Amino acid sequence: MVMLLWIIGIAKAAAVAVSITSVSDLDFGVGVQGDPPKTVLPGTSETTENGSFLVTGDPNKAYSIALPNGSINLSVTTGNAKLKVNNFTSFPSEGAHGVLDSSGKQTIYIGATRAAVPNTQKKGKYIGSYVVTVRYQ
Amino acid sequence: MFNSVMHGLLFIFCFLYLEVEAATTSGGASAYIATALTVSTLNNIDFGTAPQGDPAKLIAPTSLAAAAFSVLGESNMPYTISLPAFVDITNASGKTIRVDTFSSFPSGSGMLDANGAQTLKVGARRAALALNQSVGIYSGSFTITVVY
Repeated sequence: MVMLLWIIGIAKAAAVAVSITSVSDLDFGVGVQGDPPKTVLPGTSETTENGSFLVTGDPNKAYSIALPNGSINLSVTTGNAKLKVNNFTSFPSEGAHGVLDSSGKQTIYIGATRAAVPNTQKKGKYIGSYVVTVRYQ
Repeated sequence: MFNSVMHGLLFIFCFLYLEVEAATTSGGASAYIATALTVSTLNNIDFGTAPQGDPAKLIAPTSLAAAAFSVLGESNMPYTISLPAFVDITNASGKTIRVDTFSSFPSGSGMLDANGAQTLKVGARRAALALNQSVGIYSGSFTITVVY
């Protein structure tokens, strides 16, 4: 019995760990004071605006995707001003919808909504980051 | 003794394995908030005077007769230019002449200078005039759109 478990242990440990790496950043482009909210859709392929990540692991393995629940803040590079980003969406969609291909890879695409820009919003470049988690099913 | 050592190893193995079932990373997000773009007219396209039966007349965007616009916004920022497909200009009798083939200089996209300014010029083609073309002054307006 112990030997059997040992063999199972080796077999499972030989599986490839799931990993995720950022490929491209989410880019809301140029807005002006007074702009309404701007939504970037995840799409189904790389665009100049969507974010993307490469997920690798076991061939044909199913996994789930978790995106930020609430909002994140982008911060202006010179000063203290913030700009909110929320409504994160992905392709494949959030939850147990990821499946690695026969090479053990899948690219996931991310969209989100940049909040409306107040008339008093400080001008400049805003940057921030968000967390994506993937987990084997 | 051997069995309990193996159990211990197995436990560590499984624990390590479970640790790699999930992975997390962060991605960057960015936005840019710029000075609003404005565009104002400096001068109109002028096709000048022509007789009935005159062939089509093309005004290049670089010519003095082209329209000129002042585009103001964020310094050193590129923007894109949209032009109309055509407009009809009208005389006092309600007769029209088609104006089309709009083109601009710069073409397609522009770049604001260090002061956030650029002059945008627009030319177009006036259609050929019929031999019985109603005489008079024809005028109209067209819309250009600039966006970052």
